[in-house]
Amino acid sequence: METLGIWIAAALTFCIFSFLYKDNPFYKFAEHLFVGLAAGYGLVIQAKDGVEGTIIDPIQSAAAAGQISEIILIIIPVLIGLLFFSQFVPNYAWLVRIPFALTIGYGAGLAIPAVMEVDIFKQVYSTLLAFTAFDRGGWPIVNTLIVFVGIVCTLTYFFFSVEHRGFVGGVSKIGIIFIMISFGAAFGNTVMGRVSLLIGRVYFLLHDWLHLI
Amino acid sequence: MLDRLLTIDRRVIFIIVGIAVILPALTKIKFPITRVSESTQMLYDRIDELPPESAIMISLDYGPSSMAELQPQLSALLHHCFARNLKVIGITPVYVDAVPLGRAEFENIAKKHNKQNGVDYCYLGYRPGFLALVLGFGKDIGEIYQRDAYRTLLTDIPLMQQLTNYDDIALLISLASGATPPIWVAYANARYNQAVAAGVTGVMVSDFFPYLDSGQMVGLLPGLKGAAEYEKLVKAAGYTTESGQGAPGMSIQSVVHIVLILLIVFCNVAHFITRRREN
Repeated sequence: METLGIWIAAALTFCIFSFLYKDNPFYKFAEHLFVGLAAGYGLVIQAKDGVEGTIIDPIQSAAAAGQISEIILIIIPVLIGLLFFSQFVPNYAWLVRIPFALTIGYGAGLAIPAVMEVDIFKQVYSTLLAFTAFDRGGWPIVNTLIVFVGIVCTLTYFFFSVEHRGFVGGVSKIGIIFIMISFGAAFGNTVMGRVSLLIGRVYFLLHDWLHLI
Repeated sequence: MLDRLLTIDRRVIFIIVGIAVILPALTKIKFPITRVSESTQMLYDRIDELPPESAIMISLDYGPSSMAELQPQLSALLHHCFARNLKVIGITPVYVDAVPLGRAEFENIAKKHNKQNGVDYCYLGYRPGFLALVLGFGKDIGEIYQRDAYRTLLTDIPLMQQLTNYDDIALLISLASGATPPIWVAYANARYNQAVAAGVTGVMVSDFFPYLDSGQMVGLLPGLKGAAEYEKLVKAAGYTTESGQGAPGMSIQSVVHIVLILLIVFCNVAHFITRRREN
């Protein structure tokens, strides 16, 4: 059975790779098969681990322990969640606003302070804290200065309330250089990541399928 | 001649890259890993310093499409954790299709270290509602997961009886192909002071270095390179004799990089020569 699975996987790998030559029915077949399988598998796991694990199991545990309040606390969110389907009944479609409002309110309430704390305050703090590296001398000072200059120049590039001329223009040009370097690093990492995926498939074909390595 | 080369069919480039991958794989070409990244070393040291029996949670936030980069990372991490007698809990809170990937790897590596499911490790599997899960773990893991991936009740699993919430987890590692590490940082680290590390795909790695510099992450594995470096550290310390897929993968990667650099240099030189001629 495992051998059959490997042969099917190898055949599907070739079907997908055939797109590199040009679009063709084999590629389409593999693509549609993947989408269908992924959706079907996802649905089953969602139903099993999602509905059973998140709703039925906790209700059973609470019922076994005689905790009525726990059961109510599970059933209320489930009922609110079911209101998402009300949009399919035109007369009751307005009810969908309730779960939407709760989801957006809950999400925004959680996300806004978290983003401020994690992505702004902490980052500014760590950038300023880097100046303590001056005590250590050598490369830490150079790194700190590069980071500081990079932040100031990049932020200046995105500051459009002042015309980018003279001193501000010079600073923003340095900012562009930093942005380009970061794009270059990101592109290099992207190439490495994509090549890794190709290596993974080739390894599968040569090792698991053909047993050549 | 140059004009013809500059308008070469892209499929020729695909063939060149294909050969650059297949040939080194067949000839088993090896390039040594001379330097270990600071971010990889940080994660290794963090795990190495943990007292035995400490619990580590590994969140598999990736699907089969990123398996080539992240599965070798998982494998190297599991070798390290099991060899050091650390308890490992695996979860897959985002991608449903990662459940069998993680479960197979946990079973495989645990077997090599004679570790027992439920005692030395536990694989909890999938639960919907990622944010609710991240926050819920701060209160009670048992409220989020009633059963593990094998449908065993958590109350019947000896390892899970010792763990209640983040307070009992020494380190959380997110192996991710998406934007989940910042969520672990924002809610598990910032709110519950949970130590967080990540292993990510090469495409994303530059996005996460700021979290490392600020101390919000305690380690970061960069793609296949991170896996190869971690394998080297684990092997050098004698935690395993097995060679993972990271190091051979990086040797092939180096050949492809040389080919790509040559192609880029050649195309740029050809482009400038042609432009000069036209002028």
